[in-house]
Amino acid sequence: MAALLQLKEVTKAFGSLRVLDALDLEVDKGEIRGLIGPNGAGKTTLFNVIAGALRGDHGVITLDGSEITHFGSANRCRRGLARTFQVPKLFVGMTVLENAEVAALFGNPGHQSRSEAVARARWALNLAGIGELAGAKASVLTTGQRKMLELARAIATGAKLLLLDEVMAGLNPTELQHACDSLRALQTTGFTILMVEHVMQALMSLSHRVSVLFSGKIIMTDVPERVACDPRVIEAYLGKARGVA
Amino acid sequence: MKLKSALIQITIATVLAALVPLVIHSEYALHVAVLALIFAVLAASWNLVSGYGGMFTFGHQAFFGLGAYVSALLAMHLGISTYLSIMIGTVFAMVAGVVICLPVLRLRGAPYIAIATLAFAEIVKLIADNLTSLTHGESGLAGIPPLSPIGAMTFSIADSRPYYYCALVLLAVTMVLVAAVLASPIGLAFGAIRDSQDAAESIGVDVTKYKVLLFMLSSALAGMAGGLFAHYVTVLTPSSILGIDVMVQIIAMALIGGLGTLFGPVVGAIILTVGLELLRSLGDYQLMLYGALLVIIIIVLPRGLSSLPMLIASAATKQPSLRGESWKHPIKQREP
Repeated sequence: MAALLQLKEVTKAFGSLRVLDALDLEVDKGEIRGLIGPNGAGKTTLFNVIAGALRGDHGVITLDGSEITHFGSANRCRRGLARTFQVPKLFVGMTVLENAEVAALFGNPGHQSRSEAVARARWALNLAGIGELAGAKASVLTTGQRKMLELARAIATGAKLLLLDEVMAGLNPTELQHACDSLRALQTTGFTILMVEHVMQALMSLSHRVSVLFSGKIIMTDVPERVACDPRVIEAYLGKARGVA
Repeated sequence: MKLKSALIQITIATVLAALVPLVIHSEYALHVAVLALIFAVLAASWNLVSGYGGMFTFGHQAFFGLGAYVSALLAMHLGISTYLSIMIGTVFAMVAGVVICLPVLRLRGAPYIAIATLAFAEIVKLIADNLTSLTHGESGLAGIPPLSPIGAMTFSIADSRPYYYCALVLLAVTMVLVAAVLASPIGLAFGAIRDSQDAAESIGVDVTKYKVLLFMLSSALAGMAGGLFAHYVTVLTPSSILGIDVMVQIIAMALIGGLGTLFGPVVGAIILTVGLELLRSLGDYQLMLYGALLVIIIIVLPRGLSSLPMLIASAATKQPSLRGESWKHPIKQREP
């Protein structure tokens, strides 16, 4: 399968701290890829570097065959890459529909009318399961609804690749189930998803493959079952086993 | 607010305001009304960049002053039509808006934006102060020609009535422009940038482009108001038009009326300009009472006087959620 997103030797340092260290990563078209790693492994930095919020120091990033290394966030989005934030950053002065409408209007490079953008925004809200909240103010949403609005906004941009940063954190069991259903529906619609998630049960059941980030490198990429019991992953999370008397 | 209802409200307000000179015959009262209308344009232009764009600039008086001085000097020295000179002054203010916008683009925190823009305005004031060969500094630039005649309508400092209609047209055009921009996709981009710049960028909004556009529009409107002001008062001094107290007045007008609302700054400009005149009889106590009233209004109505009808309506229908919404301060709602 062809790679939609490709990172080659991407490095990012903050002062003397190398958060991403010549990292290589490939995400195939149409897959749901999980990204895990212990706290401080560099997951959010990696997301920021892919999304363009931060620029890498070295390395090359390509999306669907075109290099996007030197593009800013807005440009990367118009080329088909949209993200959500760990802490939702909604446009609280707008309604739910308007939040998605902005994304539909500005995320798509092709000219489209306002009514087309509204239709696309409604479609995205329905896919994220919050279609009935279209008229509500974004400021009154619950945590779960906020996360789903972020997802809807990313969908509305018409992106090929969605970067989801802990989109399930803080959801109650019902919301979690809805979120899982939405992501599966998205994948069957043709979206490719790269997700950082701490809700392991959801991540393991949704992901086709899981990549493990540790000390700025991807230490393994495999199907969830094999990743869960790999000694390198267990060591990354829990440290080396010592002999017990 | 939908564009259609905004346009209807602007039309009704303009028609009612056009009747004012028929009722008020006092030249002094009309003079105050002209000033209120010019300041309403200025406050509405600042509201664009701060209330709708979320960038709390503190140097808006510079655009007002640049528009005034450039237009006055061109009309005085080149003898061109005052309307052409106001247009050139407007373009000059707009260019200055782009210049100050460039460093502001790199700043995120409100205090830094405030200081950078204040510094710019102080530079403009210092230049006006010291370029005495052109501006006559604090001695004042006198002899600015009044507006050129339009058909049978002539302008002179002795008659405020024609200026009143001129200022009203400028305000109406400003309001229609602001309402149209806000109802367009550009308005959505402004709102997105105000609420979260990171999120706006992440969904494809070209933040630089829209911030520059916002500054251009806002500074051009301020410059145009300045041009009209210059040809109305016919005397300019740097402290009267470029001083920090002009900026404080603009902020007070927008806050009192309702920051980030279409009609708020206009309501604020009218109440403050007229209110200050009404309190003039109090002498030394005028500013004390004025200050106390400002503090009370900001505490009691954090979203400004324009939120009052909504508050009364929500109280009458006992809708606690709506009331809660109205009481949230617009600045506090934004991301840190």
